[in-house]
Amino acid sequence: MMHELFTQAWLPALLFPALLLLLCARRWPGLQGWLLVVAAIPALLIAVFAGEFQLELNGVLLGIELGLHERNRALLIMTTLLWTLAGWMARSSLPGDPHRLRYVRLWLLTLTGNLTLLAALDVATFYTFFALMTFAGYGLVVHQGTAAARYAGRIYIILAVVGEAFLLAGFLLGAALVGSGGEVPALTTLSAGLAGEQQGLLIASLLFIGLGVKAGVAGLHWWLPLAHPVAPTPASAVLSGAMIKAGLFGWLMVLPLGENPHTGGAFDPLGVAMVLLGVIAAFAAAMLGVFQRKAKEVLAYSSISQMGLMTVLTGLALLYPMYWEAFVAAILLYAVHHGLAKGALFFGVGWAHHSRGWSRFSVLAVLALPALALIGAPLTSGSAAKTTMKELLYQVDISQLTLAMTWAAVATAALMVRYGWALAREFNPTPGPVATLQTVLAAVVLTLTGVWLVPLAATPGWLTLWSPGTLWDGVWPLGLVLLVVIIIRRRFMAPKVHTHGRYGDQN
Amino acid sequence: MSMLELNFWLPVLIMGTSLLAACGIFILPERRPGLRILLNLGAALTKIALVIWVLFGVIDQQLYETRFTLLPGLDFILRVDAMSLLFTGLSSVLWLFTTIYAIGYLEDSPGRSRFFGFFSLCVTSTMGIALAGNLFTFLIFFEMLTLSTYPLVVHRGTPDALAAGRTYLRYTLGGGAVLLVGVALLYALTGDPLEFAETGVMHDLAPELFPWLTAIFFILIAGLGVKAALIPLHGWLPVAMVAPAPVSALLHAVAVVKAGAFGIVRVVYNVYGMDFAFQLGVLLPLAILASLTIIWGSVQALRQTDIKKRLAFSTVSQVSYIVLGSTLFGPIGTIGGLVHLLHQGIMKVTLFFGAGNYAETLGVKNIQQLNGVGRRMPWTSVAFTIGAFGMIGVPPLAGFISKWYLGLGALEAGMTWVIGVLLASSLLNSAYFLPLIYRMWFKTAPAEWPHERIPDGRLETSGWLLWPTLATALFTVLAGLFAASDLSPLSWASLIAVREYLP
Repeated sequence: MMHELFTQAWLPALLFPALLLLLCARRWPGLQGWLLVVAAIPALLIAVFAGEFQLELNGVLLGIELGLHERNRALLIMTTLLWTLAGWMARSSLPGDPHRLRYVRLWLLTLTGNLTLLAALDVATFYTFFALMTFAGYGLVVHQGTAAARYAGRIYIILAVVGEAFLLAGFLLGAALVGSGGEVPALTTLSAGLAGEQQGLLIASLLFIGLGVKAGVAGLHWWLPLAHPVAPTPASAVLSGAMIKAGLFGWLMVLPLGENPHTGGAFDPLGVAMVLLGVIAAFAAAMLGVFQRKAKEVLAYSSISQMGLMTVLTGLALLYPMYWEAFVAAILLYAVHHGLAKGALFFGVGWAHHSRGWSRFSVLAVLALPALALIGAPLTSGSAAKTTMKELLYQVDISQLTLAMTWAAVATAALMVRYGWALAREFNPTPGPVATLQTVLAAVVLTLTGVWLVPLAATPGWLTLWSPGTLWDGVWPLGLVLLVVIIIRRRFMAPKVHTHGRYGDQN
Repeated sequence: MSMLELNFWLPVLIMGTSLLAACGIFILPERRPGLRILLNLGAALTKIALVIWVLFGVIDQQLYETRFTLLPGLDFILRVDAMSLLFTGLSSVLWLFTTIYAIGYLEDSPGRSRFFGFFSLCVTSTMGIALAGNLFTFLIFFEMLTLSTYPLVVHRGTPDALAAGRTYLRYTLGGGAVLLVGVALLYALTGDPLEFAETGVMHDLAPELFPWLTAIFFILIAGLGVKAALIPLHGWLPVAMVAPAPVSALLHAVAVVKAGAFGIVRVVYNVYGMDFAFQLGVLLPLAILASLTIIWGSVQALRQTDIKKRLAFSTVSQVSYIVLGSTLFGPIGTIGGLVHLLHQGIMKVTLFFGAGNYAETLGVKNIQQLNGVGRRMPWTSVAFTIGAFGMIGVPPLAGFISKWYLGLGALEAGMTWVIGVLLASSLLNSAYFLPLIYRMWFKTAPAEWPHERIPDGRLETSGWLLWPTLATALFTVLAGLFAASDLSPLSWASLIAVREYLP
């Protein structure tokens, strides 16, 4: 009976943020902030407690299908948690914002899009809510109204529209291939249908590019480093933590990953391209990121870099269909871990700007925890993700790739050190909303514990994480980076004369 | 069917409601607005009631036909079939909304009696075009449409309006003459009364006639293409934007442009028939012409700074989707073109209503003046945003459904290049609609509007102007959101397509 209840409540829960728009009016100012906080909670509850199900609504659109299954549950939980925390932080920024109604409305619409696309099982629903999230998200990017924000918004929307065109092309060609009449195929039907067909590679490539704009694939990533610094901090957090995962999720649903293990190598070109682009993203983004001056810019490049790793894994899943389930589990684990950790780091930027009397050292110490998680330090969620990834790489046994992934940890460590440096420069102990502090602490706790609560098939057991090999793997990248930083400062930089007080520059 | 049956008279009755309204309005003195409004709205509602009645009949495959023999071999036929109901239904519903809108728009302006009289005549002509059962009857009402819309275009009486009216007449009368030549040639060649039949009437003609028939096809398309704004015959459309907003809404969404497109659809499906047209090889050139119009219209729209001119070129582009759909061999492409006839009508009328609201309430006519208008007129701007996203083809709005079917239809017909045209058109649509939406919602309003005629009260503008705008915007959403249900435009278009391909 509970199962029935959850199934019936799924659509209202997903559309709940959009329904809250009705309560978003100028005459109820106090309510607006609470709308941001509660909007994702119904979906969170169902995602946590419900069993797997599928739901069809034949009279809507061209017939829609929604559901909860092993591939979207973890992402839904992470997404809803992140949006709720971000909503809590955003709530305190509303008073004094001249455009708060617009902000709240577009926030709710973006959230609706994000949630429902994760639950979508057919092409039209996915496309609809992906478009909703993309277009409504524009409003969050340009919210501050500065010239930089407008420029970032322009690049964002141009790339988004081009991506939508590629996506539509892929879906049209795919629907013509696997469907009959004007009907809209299910996502699984599409991915299975691509496997055996001549045009399958073309269609899969079109979909890869269309979704890749959102996922920040190298070459389509231009909007990311521009959009993150200019958006309000909670919006940046959900952008990096949840929204770019929508592109990744799309790949997992439409690409023929082992649905039919006998693709006969037809999709190898795409798989190889994905691996290469992923590796390029992982390193090039890091190299650009370590020269950025603002903390949010560093984090943006870090997101591109991390998404590059996930792109590599997806490409490998395409190339090695026999291990596809393990790869998908690893990708999901990585995505959840990254979402929570990156969210915490973004929230931390907001906190550092108004740290309410906490000292610079304390702020950096607290934020070092999600940063270490991202690097893959021992006992963190990152370590679990990295170990899973390593095991899979050993199985496919491509030595260059294993080497590359090892050094990717160094790249991430370098970015995190730069983040710490930038944050120290932006540090400001002035008073600020207590909600920001609460959000940061909650996010940090979730980063460290959350991934263990998310049921994923390939989460390694405790024991493997205590092995000496894993512990060393978690420590040496950061150690190496710190060593390099110390050497650079000693040999190539003149000693700084500290004329300012403890709190340094204010920009 | 004898003259004693109701089914004989129903088509005439449907036309008659607006004809009687026109006569009544011309007789009424100028200073009786209340009575005039009553007459207008009463006639519109009666017409919708009649259309709903015949709708159920047509689903049951009942026959409604008015037939008079004017000359030996030439009948005047008004017939209600699935295809004519498509256009009739659209026209009658949008006539109601446009009438309400026009009442509000022209409040206190001179010449309303004349305006509404010709307005009703225009709708009568449109009904005639929709209900025509053969090319001869079609031609009669086609010309009548030109003559009844001219006074609407020049309504304001300014030198600009008169010049626009002259251009309009030149194009449309020229097109009508070409159409007459085409119809006469066809009649002379085949000796056939050229009644519209569901799969075309030319199956049994001798092969020696084929080259002639191909030439006549293009003559007919040229004649109809003026009204349907196919390039290079579209020149009248942007010029006619000088007319008041309700006229633009009517011309571009309901009457003139749709009549041209509907005519082309009739020629392809019900005169030549899909199979025969495919055999003759005329579909591909028409598809290419339609595609060029789609791209050209959008490119020109980018260059306009006047809101209504931008919408005019958007119409040039979008109506060709309907023509394109008629060239895609196969039921899916057919459905795409036909359903877009309805969807484009609803979306375009929403956009023109919105533009008219901005002009009438705030004096905003230019794109640069749209800054911050979302705060002053939020509901109109929401409707405009819906219409714009619908044009771009974002789901779940109506425009997406049309694009989806057109795309799949193109693939079914083996014309993959059409997908490129559709995508390029979507990108161009985004390029000229998104900046408007940005200005509305994300820029700050000026200290003073150009000419604020209607102050901000309980409603942001006059109720006569606001409610039709919201209603058509709502239809845009519903037509897409519930496209799979039995009551949607999509279902109706599918019904027609089935009857076209499976007699």
